[in-house]
Amino acid sequence: MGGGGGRGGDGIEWDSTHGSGGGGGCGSGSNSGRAGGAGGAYGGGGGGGGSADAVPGSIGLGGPGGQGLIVISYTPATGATVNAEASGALEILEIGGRVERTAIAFGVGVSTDRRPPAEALGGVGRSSTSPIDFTALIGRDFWATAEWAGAAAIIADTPVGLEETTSLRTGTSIYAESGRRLTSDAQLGLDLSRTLAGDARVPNEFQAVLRADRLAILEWLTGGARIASEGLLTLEWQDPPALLLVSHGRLLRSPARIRILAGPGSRHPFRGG
Amino acid sequence: MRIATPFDPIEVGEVDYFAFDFTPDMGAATIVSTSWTCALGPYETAIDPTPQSRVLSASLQTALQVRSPMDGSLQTRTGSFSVGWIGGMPASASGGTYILEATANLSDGRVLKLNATAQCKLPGS
Repeated sequence: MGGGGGRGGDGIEWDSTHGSGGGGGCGSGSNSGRAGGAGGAYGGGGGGGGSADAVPGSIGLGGPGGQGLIVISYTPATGATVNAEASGALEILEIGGRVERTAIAFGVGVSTDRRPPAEALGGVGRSSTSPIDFTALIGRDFWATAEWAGAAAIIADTPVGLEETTSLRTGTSIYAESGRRLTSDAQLGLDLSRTLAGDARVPNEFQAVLRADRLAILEWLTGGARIASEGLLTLEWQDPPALLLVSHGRLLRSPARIRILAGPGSRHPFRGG
Repeated sequence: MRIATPFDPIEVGEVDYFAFDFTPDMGAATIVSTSWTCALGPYETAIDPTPQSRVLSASLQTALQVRSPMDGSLQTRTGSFSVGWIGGMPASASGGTYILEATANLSDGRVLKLNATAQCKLPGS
């Protein structure tokens, strides 16, 4: 077995994640090949040198590979369930770590007096009770905004479907209407007895006279999906005033005025008319 | 314009609605405002120093309820009515005859007046 061929050249690192493989070793006549060159970063190793004589075992070794792809296996952390005291059944499973914001806003009042942001980065209180107390927001003039960073899968039991307000159970503290500015001014008193099922925490009573012409906006922002419903609540009426009762003898009717009088007709016999 | 038919008499201390029905004169117009006057008729010996104060209020109505003299049922009449809230005649006015007049200002600019008399009587007389 003669001298080996030349060693293959090293590979080239193209960028931080790619590289070329090293060159193959050079064979030399009947001699066994030489080892291949080392691969560049993230590149494969070079091939072994060839051998012309097909002598078993004379093939050079392949060069060592460069740094390969970095493979990071990420195991999701244990799921954190954020249970707003509100039974709105808002479950937030943190399954990622990206810095994304997902905003959930329930609310009607566009004009907010203030927005108490509840923010948590990376994990909204894992296994802890969310400090977001939606119930506390009822009756105030601000939005309940829950913001957190991190890829969050929001699993909501759709407690706040606009059409499903009637299906809310007691204990759903979000109360669907929570953002609806049940408003301290109590001007918007909707019949929530069906939806709140007697929860005494929110004194919602149907009021016969509602000052309406109020634009009610329900928004639910969930990770970019926006469900908005705008409708003009015109729940306003009042009983017609009772008719006055007038005695028959104290109601006099105009005999109807005659303001057009026609002459009896002229008779002029001497005119031949 | 005088309506020959008088109102039913009003007793001293009584307060009631009196109404004129302007409907036959309205045409396509509507009453936009109305007012009432109250005065004792001429040559009256009854005394009421402030007859105008017997008009407590005036309003226009487009519907009234009238109790039928036949069966006592309530009948709703629609039209253009001028209603005066009249009463508080003093005892000194008993036996006298008041002239109640309603003025209706119409939407077409016309001003119509209707008046009629109402005798003041002592209770029980």
